[in-house]
Amino acid sequence: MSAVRVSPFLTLSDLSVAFPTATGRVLAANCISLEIYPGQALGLVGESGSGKSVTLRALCGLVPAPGQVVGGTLAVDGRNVAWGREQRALRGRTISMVFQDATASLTPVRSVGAQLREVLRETTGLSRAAARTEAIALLDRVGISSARKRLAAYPHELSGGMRQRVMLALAIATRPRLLLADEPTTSLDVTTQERILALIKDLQAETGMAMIFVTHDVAVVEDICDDVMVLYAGYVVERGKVSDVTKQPRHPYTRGLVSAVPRLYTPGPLAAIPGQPPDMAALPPGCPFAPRCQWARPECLAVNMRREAATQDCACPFARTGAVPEAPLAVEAMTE
Amino acid sequence: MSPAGHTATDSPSPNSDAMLRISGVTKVYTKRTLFDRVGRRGGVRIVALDDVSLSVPRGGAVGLVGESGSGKTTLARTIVRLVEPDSGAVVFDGVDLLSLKGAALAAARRRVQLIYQDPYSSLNPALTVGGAIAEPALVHGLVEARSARGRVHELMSQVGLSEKLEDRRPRDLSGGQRQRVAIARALAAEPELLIADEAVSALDVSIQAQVLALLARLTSELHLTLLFVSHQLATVEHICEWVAVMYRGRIVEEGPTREVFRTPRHAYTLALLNAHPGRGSQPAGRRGAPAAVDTQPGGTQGCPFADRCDFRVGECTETMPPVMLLGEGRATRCVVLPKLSAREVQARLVWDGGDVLRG
Amino acid sequence: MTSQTVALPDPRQALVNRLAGGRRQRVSAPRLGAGILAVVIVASLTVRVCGIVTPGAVDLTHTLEPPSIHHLFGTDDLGRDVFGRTIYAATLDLWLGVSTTVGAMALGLVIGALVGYRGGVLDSCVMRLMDIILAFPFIVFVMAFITIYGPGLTGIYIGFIITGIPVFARLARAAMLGVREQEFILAAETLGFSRGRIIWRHALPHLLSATVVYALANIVLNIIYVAALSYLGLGVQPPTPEWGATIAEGQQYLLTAWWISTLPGLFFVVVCIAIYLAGEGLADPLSRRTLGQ
Repeated sequence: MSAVRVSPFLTLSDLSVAFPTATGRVLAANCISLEIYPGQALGLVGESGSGKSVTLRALCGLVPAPGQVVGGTLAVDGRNVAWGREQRALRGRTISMVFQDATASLTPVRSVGAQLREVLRETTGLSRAAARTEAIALLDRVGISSARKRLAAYPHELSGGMRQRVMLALAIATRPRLLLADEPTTSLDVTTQERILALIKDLQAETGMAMIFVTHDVAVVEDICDDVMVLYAGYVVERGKVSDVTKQPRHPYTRGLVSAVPRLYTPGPLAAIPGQPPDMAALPPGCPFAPRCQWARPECLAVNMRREAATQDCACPFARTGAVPEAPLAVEAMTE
Repeated sequence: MSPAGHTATDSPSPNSDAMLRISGVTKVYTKRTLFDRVGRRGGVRIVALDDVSLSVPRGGAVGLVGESGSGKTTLARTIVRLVEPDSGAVVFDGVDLLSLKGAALAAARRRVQLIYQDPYSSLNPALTVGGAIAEPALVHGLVEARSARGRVHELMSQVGLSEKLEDRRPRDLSGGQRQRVAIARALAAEPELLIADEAVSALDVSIQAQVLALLARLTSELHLTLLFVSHQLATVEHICEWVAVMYRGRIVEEGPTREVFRTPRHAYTLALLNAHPGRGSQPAGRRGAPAAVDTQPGGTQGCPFADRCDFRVGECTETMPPVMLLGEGRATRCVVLPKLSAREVQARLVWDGGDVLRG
Repeated sequence: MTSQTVALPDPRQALVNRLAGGRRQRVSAPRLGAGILAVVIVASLTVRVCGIVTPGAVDLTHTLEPPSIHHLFGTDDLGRDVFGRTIYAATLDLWLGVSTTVGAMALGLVIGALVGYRGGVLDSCVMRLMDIILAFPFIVFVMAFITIYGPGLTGIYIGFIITGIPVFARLARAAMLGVREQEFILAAETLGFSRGRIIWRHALPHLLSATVVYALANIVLNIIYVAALSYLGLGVQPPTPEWGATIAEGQQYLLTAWWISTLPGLFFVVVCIAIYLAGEGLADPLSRRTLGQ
């Protein structure tokens, strides 16, 4: 996928999102920076608690209360955008989002056509007739057959795949420059997922919109993204081109993650990352992955994660210098 | 599958020492609204299982793959009689589970345990870890009250849980830990057959690998038989030597996992393999996966996959393809793919990682 | 750019804080309620046990005296200390409210749990029976029992418990229907547990949390109904002091000796509020402990 690398139209610097908890303040996203170029497909990969969804929601102005953005700047076309109202105004024209669960995201009491028309009329001020025509065109564009008849359908009358297509139609109705996708295919069957992913790629090619795709599935990122960022405990631990990161991962977490995914036609034992996902309220000093890292050393406790994540493509100073040996990762069910 | 010309209890798998033999199980749900009842109409029929037959060899690991609506979860629940089938037999170690009642049923149920998908809802939040694990052993009289605690510790260490967790409640544990507790609880009943119903699908990737390794180790150490229900083909390939592919309530293909995945003999299996992401540099969507169709599963005359099939020929829509035995224990319900040569089938399999037969 | 998250104050807690003297010390609402109840109960038991107040004692030389140091709530038409009688009555009223609720709750939970678990024809029949009981106006129903058993407490116990069962049964059944398909219940079935064990050990804690809030309301409601019945002359018989009866006795003096009805009435209200506050403090930790929420 060729993206003309001019300059990025959206820049996020040092985003931090905090949630108050009983035991103190938890930084769900910590110093996350990224740049989006027109037409680019960026994947955000991580497991639960990694901060990938929160980052997306911050970009869209949807951080759920009581969490809030506590740091970082957002710039669109070179101009700074303040968090809050100004940033929420980006929704629609500039930034659009699709979610994992279409059932929860579509209003169950209004027909699909009504919801589409509402978005169109709100953001583009089309007349009723024009909005209807455009809605049919959108449904057709996302691959829903007999679009005219489907306008009157309610979300519960459609299958999961179709609901997801409707969500995509809603998202692209405003012709956004950036599409945020939060695990849009995770709850779908694999054959349906494939079609939806193909659709997303086609839409991207057609409209030139960029995309940030959040998922826990490394294989999906391999298929549809150009670049990838791997998140752990709210930090970006590795970033780079998809082929580089997945074929030659450097950060110990990425190495573990890539090796833990079973692949078709690749027999052999699976690598397992020992331990638990991090307890965000009680992160150890230094590198948050150290407790689970098989190459951990005492210096890991002194790593300045914020600086590493902000300045480096791989947040493990030891991996960068080649101090992490090529030994295969340990395999076994670990005692917890 | 009821092979034509064979008795209903036959199954193609080579191992005749079957721990579990499912024959001709059918389950149809009929949704009738009030109008249907009044108007004496039939209502909507949903065929969850249609004449399903499967053999699980003793000590083996069999995978059951399919997507939503395939019936794999219904089949798993039918085996443990959470769902009562309309017809068929489920013979476990020589005894038809469907005919048992009362105490005999309770005793038989102990020997077949189910691990559920969602570790957050399959544990009773009101019980401690130790209490939940001890309960099956105590209820079935496998352990005395005074030695229960020791048994709990034993089981916890078998599944890789620290003993310190025994007084915690599920809310304090992570997904992976809860699933281990669920496994320990199942083991406390000293089962002989373990059914894992998407047991790792809801876990983080790094934890999935842990739990899979655990299941593999336990089945070999404790000589358990494993039926692994999943939609993740790669996972099934890793731990199951035998696989059965389900589509809309029927088993459409069956055989040794390696063979089935390298040279599928049913169009659906091929489509399923091609739809899996991360298989090469081919952009998504160019693999010839069929269009998703928005129809309810009902009784169809021909092959249920026909409307989405690239290989469809005339006879596919006329009659249900019969079971075709292919040697090496393989069986399929497709009329087209078995006629192609292995090379031709593999050419249709999209894989940029090189020759599929290697490795 | 950072902004403070401001926690919105709980208006109830603010009121409690003000009542507690406006000091910054944290008197939680449930503790206040529990405190009031504790004081009232202890006082009432003391008064009964030590014989400070005797139901039958009259003092005709000091009738209808307004509130004073000696008689905090004044005296009634028979010269009895209204405050003493009010305190004396506290344990009786509280006991009636709690016991009838607990009885109805126990039976209602069992019925609702059983029919909710099994479903089928039994479910329909039993719930229709509950509907029949609910269809009767409460007072009419209780009066029927009082007619059978005569005025006094027996009729009250039986009538209140029977009329209380349907709502608990409904709540329990609804909660059971919700819990029935949860995977841990299915797991209990596949593990081979008996139906009784599943209902009792696994489902019941979840039913409790659904019903305990209503139970609190029911306690207060029952006390009010007991008072209403005594007001009508059908409940507790004189000279036993009881809040409703006291209010009834003072009714004819409302314009002259207002304290006989009003002050016990206010006391009654305060105690009911205290029950609510204390109960809420109990309900949340209870459900959290049993359910691990």
